[in-house]
Amino acid sequence: MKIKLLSGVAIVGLALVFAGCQKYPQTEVDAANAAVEATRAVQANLYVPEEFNALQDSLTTVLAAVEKEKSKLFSNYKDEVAKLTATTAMAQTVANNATAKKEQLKQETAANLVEIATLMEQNKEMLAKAPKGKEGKAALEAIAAELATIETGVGEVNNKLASDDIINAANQAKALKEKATGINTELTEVMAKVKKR
Amino acid sequence: MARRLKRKYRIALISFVVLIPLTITGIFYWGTPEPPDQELEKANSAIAIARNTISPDFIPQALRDAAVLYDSAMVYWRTENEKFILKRNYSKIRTLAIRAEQLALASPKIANQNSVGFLAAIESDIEKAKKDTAQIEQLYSRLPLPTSINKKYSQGLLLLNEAIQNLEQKNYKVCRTKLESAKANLSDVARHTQNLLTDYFANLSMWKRWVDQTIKESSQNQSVAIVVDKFAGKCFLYKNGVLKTTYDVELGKNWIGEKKYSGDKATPEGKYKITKKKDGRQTKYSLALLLNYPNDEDKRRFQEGIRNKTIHRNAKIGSLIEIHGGGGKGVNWTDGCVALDNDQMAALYRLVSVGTTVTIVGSLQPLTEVIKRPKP
Repeated sequence: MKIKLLSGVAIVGLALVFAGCQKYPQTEVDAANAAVEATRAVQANLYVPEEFNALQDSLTTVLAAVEKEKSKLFSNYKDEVAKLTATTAMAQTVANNATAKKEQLKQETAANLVEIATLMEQNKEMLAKAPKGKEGKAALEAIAAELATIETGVGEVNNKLASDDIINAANQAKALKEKATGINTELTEVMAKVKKR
Repeated sequence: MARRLKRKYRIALISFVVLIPLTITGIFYWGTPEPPDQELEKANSAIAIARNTISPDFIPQALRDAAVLYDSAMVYWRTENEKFILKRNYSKIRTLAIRAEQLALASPKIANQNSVGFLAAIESDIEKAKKDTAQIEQLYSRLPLPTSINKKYSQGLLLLNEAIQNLEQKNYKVCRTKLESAKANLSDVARHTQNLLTDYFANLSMWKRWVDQTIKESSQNQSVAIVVDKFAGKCFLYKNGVLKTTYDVELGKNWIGEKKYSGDKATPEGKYKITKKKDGRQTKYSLALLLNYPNDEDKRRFQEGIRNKTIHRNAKIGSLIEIHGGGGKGVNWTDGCVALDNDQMAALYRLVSVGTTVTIVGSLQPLTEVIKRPKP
């Protein structure tokens, strides 16, 4: 009886030893990797670089933790699975934030383009009415050349928007708006002086 | 006998049940290699710190290599983990991880060295571009520049502004690209204006000679003489060799350079005489002083231009160059004449007579002095 009991204990013991190795969380690893890749596809590295770097660090750390667990005699992936799931969720957030940031930049650029168009209309109107006074025709010609440059720039911004180069489009639109505003201020001051006379 | 055998059997069984698992467990426990997690963790941490501290535009090769070594270490680790636990060997992974950590730790210093050089070059280029801009700006409003140059100048300014904005936003690569384009545009404009002025001021000694001669003649003949400095936009009235009055003048739209042919909107340079004083219905500018343009030198130059084919064979030399009223617009607007505002014209008109010398020169001062003058 005793012999049977001891044999049973030995068998159960050995079974427990080998059953102690949990299954490698391949599904979760794949899901996390795919989620991070998806953030790259929406150019999160460009639009939310800090969040993207944090996500990458998180993935690298959790993958190392998974391998560490796998290197052990008795692997237990419970914590790592939780971390992988969290990383996948984090990737989703980063992707959403990148998309939102991109959309925000697009809208800002579109708004800037509208403002530029309004400013350009006003500028052209004022330029036509501007007196050929002390500043001279050369100055007005220079302003006309600047307006032409802004118009060319607006074309470039639209091309960049069309080719999804949103960040550069946004920066250029901002610079063009500043330039158009500068000219507008200059011309408005000139026109105000004229009215006073 | 049977009992002894039973006892032996029992001992053997106990040994099997207890010792074998213990031995196996011991073999696995002590035989399992230590995973390289600490080395990899250090490498990963060093890479993350380096990546977060270094601007993306200055990431050195060392950091890229570190990342590759880390990835390779992870691949090897996975491969080793696929093997039977007692056959695993993590030494290569450790070596790769340690090397990755070393490279990552060295990266910020390398990046700093690279960025210092890069930023110094960018700042120096921005300074150069600003200097070019200041130089152009100094002369820009005074010169009749072609539309293409005007356009290039405004493009250059816009690009320079964008480059500075990108520098502030630490978009160094974009800044570099914008700056290169800005520099190219502004350098072209600076070169164009510089060449235009250098060519123009090559005649300075001749102009000075004309003016000296005019003042001397005014002194010797006790007469009135007029000197027009085109670059300064001034007209000087001399009486008996002494400067009496200075007037502001406006010139032809393309005033810089010599007048070559009719319709070029350039104001001629040379020594002329007043041939007629016009008033009333004789002129549309209230008062006017007709000059003897073209003089012999103008005719000779025009013929030479036709021969050299620098002037079209159907072109005409032009005439009716006057000093007249209607000025005060603050812009060079005439077809080649010299315009004063009506009050000043009336004053000048009273002081001169037919035969009065009118010497028109490009400038009375050298270019180096002219560019020091405040912008009008």
